[in-house]
Amino acid sequence: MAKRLIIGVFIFLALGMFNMPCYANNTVNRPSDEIRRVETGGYFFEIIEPERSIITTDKNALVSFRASRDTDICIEVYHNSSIEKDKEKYILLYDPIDITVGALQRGWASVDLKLGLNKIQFMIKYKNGSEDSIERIINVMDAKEIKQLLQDVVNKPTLSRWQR
Amino acid sequence: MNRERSKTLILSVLVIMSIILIQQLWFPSPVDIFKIGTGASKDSHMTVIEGRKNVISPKTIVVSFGAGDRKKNYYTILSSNIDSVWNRCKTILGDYFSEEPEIIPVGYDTYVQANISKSIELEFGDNMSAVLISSVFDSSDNKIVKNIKGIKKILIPAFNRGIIYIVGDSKDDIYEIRRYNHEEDTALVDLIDKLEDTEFIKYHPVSSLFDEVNENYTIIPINYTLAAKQIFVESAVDVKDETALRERAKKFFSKNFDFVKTIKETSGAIVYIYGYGEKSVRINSEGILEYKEEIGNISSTNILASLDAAIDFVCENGGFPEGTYLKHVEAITDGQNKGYRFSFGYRIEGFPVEFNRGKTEHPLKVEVYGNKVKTYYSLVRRAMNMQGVDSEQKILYFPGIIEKNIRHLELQYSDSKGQPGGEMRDEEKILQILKDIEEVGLVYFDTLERQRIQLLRPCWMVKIKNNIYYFDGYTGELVDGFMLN
Repeated sequence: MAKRLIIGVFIFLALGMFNMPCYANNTVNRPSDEIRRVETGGYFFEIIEPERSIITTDKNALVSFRASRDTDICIEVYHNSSIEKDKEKYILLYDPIDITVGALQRGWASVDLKLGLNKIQFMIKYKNGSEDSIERIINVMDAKEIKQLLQDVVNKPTLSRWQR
Repeated sequence: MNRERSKTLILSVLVIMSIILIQQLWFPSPVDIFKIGTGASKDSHMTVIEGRKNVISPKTIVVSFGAGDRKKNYYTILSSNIDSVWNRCKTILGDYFSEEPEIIPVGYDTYVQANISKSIELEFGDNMSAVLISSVFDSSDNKIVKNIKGIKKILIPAFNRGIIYIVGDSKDDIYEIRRYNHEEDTALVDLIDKLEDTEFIKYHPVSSLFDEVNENYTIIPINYTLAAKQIFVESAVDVKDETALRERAKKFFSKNFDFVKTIKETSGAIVYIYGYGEKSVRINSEGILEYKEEIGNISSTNILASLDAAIDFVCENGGFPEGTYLKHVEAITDGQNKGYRFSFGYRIEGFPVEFNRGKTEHPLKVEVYGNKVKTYYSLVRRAMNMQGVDSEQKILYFPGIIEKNIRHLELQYSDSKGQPGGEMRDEEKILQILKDIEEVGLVYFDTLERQRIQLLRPCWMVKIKNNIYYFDGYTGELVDGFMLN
């Protein structure tokens, strides 16, 4: 009986310990364009702007981030060139922007966007060689379209124009 | 009889020839004398006025693209089409300087708020009197001149609603200038929209990049994909070309050049002296020309007349290089004499040229007392056409240059501030420096090491409080630095 009790306690302890690393990994089940911070082995990358995917009228976005020193970031900007509303076909808009984070532990990039869906992909390579990535979707619309969208949202609150 | 007539004819021809030859040798043409009294003087006066309007131009022009948000807005410092933009701005500003607008003192925050809309900011040289800027609009006695002593910046909102802003001698000396009868003019809006479609260096305010740095609206560049040319220059004056030197020096002495002594110094410099040194011109091996004249007792506080005298002098003795602008004005005294020192800068390929301070501060300087030029200093370098040289290279990312030079900056900067700095983390040190950054811009830096085939590389000029640094744009290394007086 005592032996069964001890084995049971060990099993419960083991199950409890497995939960901890799973709980720390808060990227599970979250869409990649909502993740703000990733870290691994003491290195981190955190997006400051844009905090999440957004809709805007600006064709230029200032992206900013923090990261561990000597982290290499490659920023790729894509634009959805698909004519069909329900389909996506992203093409690279221009050459990627390569940044190596220095003593300030932060970086910025001013990226030009086009009307429609734009995807900004952050490809992260830490000093220890491990890699990660985060993306943001920026939907550039003109003022009239946004006004119409807001009216539609007010009239039909469940309507969403974003197709994943 | 025929013989008599032919003798008379020959004699007449000889007399006429004598008169003509004597006139060419000794006397000016009577036609020219009549012209000087009227048209010629008018022409030279027009040249001086045109020259004045050309040199009184902005040192920098900053364009705001009008994101309407202090965090999101971005800017650029123009390096092309500077003249055309300035001309466009002049057509808008002319009415403010000729009418009776309302002048309202405002705070710095109002100015910053106006600057985040689509606008053009014109920054002029140091100690620019309002009289000088107003003279560009053919008006030297108007309400703006009566109320504002000096003008450092003028901000013109692109959506012309009859308001401009003027920054005076200090950051707290700001005025809103309001006209009530204005016409709609969207020319600046179109200009800014067209510029946005081109490639340019994007600048963002420091406070929009760092939450920890509030209230510092100095714009800094964050382009990663910027390229700029390196260029070769040579001095416009070549001390080895004695014939050209002689012709150049003659203009300073005009008819008295026959009485001028020429001295060759062991350093390679050539000096032309008139009399016992009443007038002299010295040209050194680097092509620096220095003129001095004893002018006696003469004073004037008429800054406009003094500037005209300076411009007239320079125009008659070599002229201004392309892209010249008035950079600094200083009231000076020499014994009993009162006058002004006008310092000029110039641009090459749209970027200002800065020099090794140990050798020269400004490339063109004129000291004027009354309407007499006492000294004139000129170091003009012109771009050389070097075939087969790969001139364009990628410029380093500006924040990376600050990170690269943090050790040097913290030493120099913390010494001047009297703070230890040694116990702070690098990130904190850089933030401390960024809080005090006052100006950043791309320039060409001339180390003045060679008279010919001198390489000018694009450099980031950074002003942090009283210190100015020049960092090589390609490598990020510190090229020069000095403390302002």
